[in-house]
Formats: sequence, C-alpha cells, structure tokens
Amino acid sequence: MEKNKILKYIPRIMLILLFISMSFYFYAYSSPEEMISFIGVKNAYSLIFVLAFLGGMTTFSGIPYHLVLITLATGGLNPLFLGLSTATGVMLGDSTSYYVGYQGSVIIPGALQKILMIIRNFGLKHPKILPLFFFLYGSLSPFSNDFIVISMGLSQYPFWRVMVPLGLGNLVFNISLAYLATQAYNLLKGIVF
Amino acid sequence: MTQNKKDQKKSEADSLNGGEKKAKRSSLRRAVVILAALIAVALVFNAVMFFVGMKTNYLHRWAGGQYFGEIIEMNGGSFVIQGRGNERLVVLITEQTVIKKGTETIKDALQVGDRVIIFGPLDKKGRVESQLIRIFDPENPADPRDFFQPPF
Repeated sequence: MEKNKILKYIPRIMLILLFISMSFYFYAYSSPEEMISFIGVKNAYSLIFVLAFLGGMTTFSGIPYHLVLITLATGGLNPLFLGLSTATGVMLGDSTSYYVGYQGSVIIPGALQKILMIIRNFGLKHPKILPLFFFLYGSLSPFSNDFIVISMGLSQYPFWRVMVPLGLGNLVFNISLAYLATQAYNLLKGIVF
Repeated sequence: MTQNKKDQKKSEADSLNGGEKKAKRSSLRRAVVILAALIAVALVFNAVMFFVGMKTNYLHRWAGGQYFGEIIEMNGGSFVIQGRGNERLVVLITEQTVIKKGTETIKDALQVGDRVIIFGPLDKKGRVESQLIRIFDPENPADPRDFFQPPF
C-alpha cells in the first residue's frame, strides 16, 4: 500500500526535483552574457520577455532580469512596452511555479498543510483581501513572487485569484521601474549596484 | 407585561449585535494577523535570498557592465553608442568580442543605426571592452508590431 503511494507520487516528486535542479543550475552558473548570447532573439522586447519568463520559472533563485530592464530602458526603449513584456513573461513563468506548488500540495507534511488551509479558507471567506494583498505585493515589492505563488499553489488557492492581481501588480512595478530608470539612472545605479 | 417583552427583545437584539460586532472584530484581527504573518515570512525569505545572492556574488555577476543604445558612429575597431540621454559611450571591439544577431555569430556586421546590447568592463579611459554584442533589428524597437515576433 505504502509502495503504491510512493509510486503514485513519483512523477510529482520528479517534477519538483526538476524545477529545483534547474533553478540551482541557473543560480550557480548563469550570467547575463551567457543568457543573452543563448537567447537568440532579434527584438529587445522579446529578450526581456524571455529573461523574465526564465526568471519567473526558476524557483527561488531566479534571474535578476530587473537589471537588464533598467539597461534597456535607459538605452531608449519604450518603458511601457518594456514593463508589459516583462510582466507578461514573469507571470507566465510564475504560473509554472504555482503548478509545481499545486502538485506538491499532496506530499507536504500535515502541519504545514494545516497552516496553508487556514490561509486558503480565510482567503475564500474574504475574497477581496488576499487578491488586494497580492496586488500590493506585486506592485511594491522588488522581490521574487515565488514565495507567494508556491505557497498559494500548495494551499490550492484558485489560480486566477492569485495570478491576475499579482500580474497587475507586477505590471505596475515593472512599468514604474522602467520609467524611473529613464529618469534617474545614475541614482538607481548607486542604490542597486 | 408588553413592556417587559419589548425590553427582552431589545436586550436580545443588543446582545446579537454585540455578538456580531465581536465576531467581526475577531475576524478582522485574524485577517490582520494572517496578512502580517504572510508579509513577515515573505520579507524574511526574500531578505535571506538577497543576502545569499550578495554573498555568493550572484547579483554582482548580473549587475556587471551592460549597456544598451544605438550606434551613432563607426570607427576602425570601435564604435560609439548613445542611449536615451546625450551621453555617449565608446565601445572597443577586440579579438575576444562575440557579435550575435539572432542565433548566429557574425563578424563585421555592425552598422550605424543598429541598436545593440553590450557586455564588458570599462577600461581606465571609460571605454567598454566588449565581450558580447547582440544586435537587435534596426527598425524602431518601440514599434508594438515588433513585440509579437517569435522569440526564437
């Protein structure tokens, strides 16, 4: 019986391990030169889209695509399109993280599952509060969305209720960052680097 | 007697309202606690990731010299780019420089008007010693029609 249970979950475990190892690989070995050399695009918006997608897809480590976004914005690209392509890419990438979390929900320990269920039930009971929190997190926080999307995937909180507000928040953040970069590149360089 | 009944009903209603208020307050308190806990965990987690990124030089690796702009002048072995402002940057092409356009590695294909992203350190004179140059389509990249090109 126990053996059957393990066999049943092997594909999910393999999927999670694949994502973790891919993220570790990017974390340990990726550099902007290698990535940009590898991504064979002829359009700068496609470049930031692919970078943001990979950044969203890799779990926990990610790719700091914001730095390339700043470079492209200061180089003369349209901040609105830059923000749009970045937010679209990162949300598509984060969808895979949500999926990994969702698949992992059956194999997490009971205690953690209990905590996540409290959050989920709370979110379903008050349907406006968590989406508002996700929007604010996406629009104000420069950090990765992985913590949010994976934990919501683990708790099996509805996909669209996480992704739509978080995506809109990311759109606000990336457009604002691109605009800010065009206005205050030197100041930003001093803060970020 | 009637007055007593009215009083009793009123007191029941007050007690119900009080219960509702209490339940609402408790629910609000729970909401605040859950959101505060989520924010705290997210911040701590991201702060740890940021610290690890700084310690392992991961972020510095990504924050290294990268420049984007339009080629406005070509010279033998170097060219000049201009970004959004009037600031100009001289880029040196060395034997180690790799020039990419799409999936191909090319040579001698840089032209005035090309938009390029360049990676490489600055030398003592403030010129970029290019290691990688990627050429983008010469058309105006702010055109939304370019946005939907397939990435590969």
